[in-house]
Amino acid sequence: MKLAALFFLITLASCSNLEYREIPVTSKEQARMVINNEVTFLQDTFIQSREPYYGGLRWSPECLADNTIGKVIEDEKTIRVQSRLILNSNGDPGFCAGEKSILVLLYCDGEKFVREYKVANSSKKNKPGIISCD
Amino acid sequence: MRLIYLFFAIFSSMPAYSLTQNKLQALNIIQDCNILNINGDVVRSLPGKMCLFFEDGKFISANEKRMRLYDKNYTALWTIEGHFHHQLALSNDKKRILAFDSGKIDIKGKNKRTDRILVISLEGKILHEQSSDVLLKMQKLPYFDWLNSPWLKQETNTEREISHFNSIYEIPKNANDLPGSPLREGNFIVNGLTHGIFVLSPDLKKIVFHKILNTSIEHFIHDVQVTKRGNIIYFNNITAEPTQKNLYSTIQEYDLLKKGVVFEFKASPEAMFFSRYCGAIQELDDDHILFSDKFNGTYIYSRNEKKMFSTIRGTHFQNRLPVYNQSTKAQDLSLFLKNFKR
Repeated sequence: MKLAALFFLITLASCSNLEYREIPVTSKEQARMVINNEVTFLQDTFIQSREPYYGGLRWSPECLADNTIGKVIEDEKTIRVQSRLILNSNGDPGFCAGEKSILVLLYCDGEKFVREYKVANSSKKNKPGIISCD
Repeated sequence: MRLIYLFFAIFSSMPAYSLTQNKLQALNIIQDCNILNINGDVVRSLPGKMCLFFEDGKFISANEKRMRLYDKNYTALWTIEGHFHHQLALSNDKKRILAFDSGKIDIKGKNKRTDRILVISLEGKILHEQSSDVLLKMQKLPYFDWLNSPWLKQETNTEREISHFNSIYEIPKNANDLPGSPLREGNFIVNGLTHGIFVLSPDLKKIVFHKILNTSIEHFIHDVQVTKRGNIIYFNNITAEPTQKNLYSTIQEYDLLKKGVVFEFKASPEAMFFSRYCGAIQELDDDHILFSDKFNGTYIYSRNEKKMFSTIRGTHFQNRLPVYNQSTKAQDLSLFLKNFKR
């Protein structure tokens, strides 16, 4: 029981240490728009096409597999989307080589911002369920 | 008279810009929608096959399905559906977008691809448009009947194309911007593979001038622009040489009045520089010219010193950038990059 409590406390501490960037919004509607815009932007980034003269694929299948854009999930209290992306050293998407990461956009009801989390797969903080409004 | 205008163009109306090693470091290379630093490292990779960037963080992105204006918050402010191809350019006042879309023409019951030339406002409104079939009819030039690649067939739902236009620019102030000259500021210079160079009126409705250059085999030319000296510069994919056995590419400046090449870059031996299907150029100042093709990378060449000023290997084919390779340009994008970050 004591061990379980200790584990809970460590997890909680880890959660509170997980940094995120705040994207200011004035309402839930605006938060929804911000999140949908980013999803569209990322989808546009990874549209597959062919080079016109030699026919080569713009993005390799492996690169597309490493850059998968999530679906927006919304319930009464949250709007959330989680994507798996390769980010460069500045944390920008649009790459085939770099740090495999997750990018989570999360809106928690009542907040005046959308949270943007970027967590490298290699990070010890990257654990299922770690990013939530709780 | 021409000399007077040349003097005027160079010393009074044009901002003096001279590329130095320090200024070179501030330049970014734009290849499709990838932004590289001068060392060839990709610093941003943004949506689209062709992009134009603005200092306030907005950018135009186009691909074979649509053109969009994004703001720094990733919001698409407007969208125009269309099969955009080859390149985008800005007008001299930077308030209009110059682009190519694909259209269709019915010939004996079969749809064939045409080129639509578009002038678009920054608000996403098409201001002027012209179709290649109309221009070819006006100039009494034959349609060609080229078989489309499998992917082009799929993208345009056409089996064949009648034209292959590949560059458009608004003519800047230049030494031949004289009354009666075709190279008046505000006209558009448009290039069609094999069909030649067209100078069009500002509303795209009239052909002011047309020429098929004999310096190239079948006018296989890309990225035709007017210099402030009143000449045209272009990437000559297949330079005419009598035997036609050792094809090679050149960068040429052509004097339309003297009807001759006044500057040429070629490799030595010549056949070492050859790009059959694509190529981009940009005059950076009176001395330096940037050019790029699919296989070799991007070069900045000093005409005065007759040597390479800089070679950007990041755009070399082997680096496998997800690119289209038709439009490589240099621009200082520090303000765009600063403002694009939200």
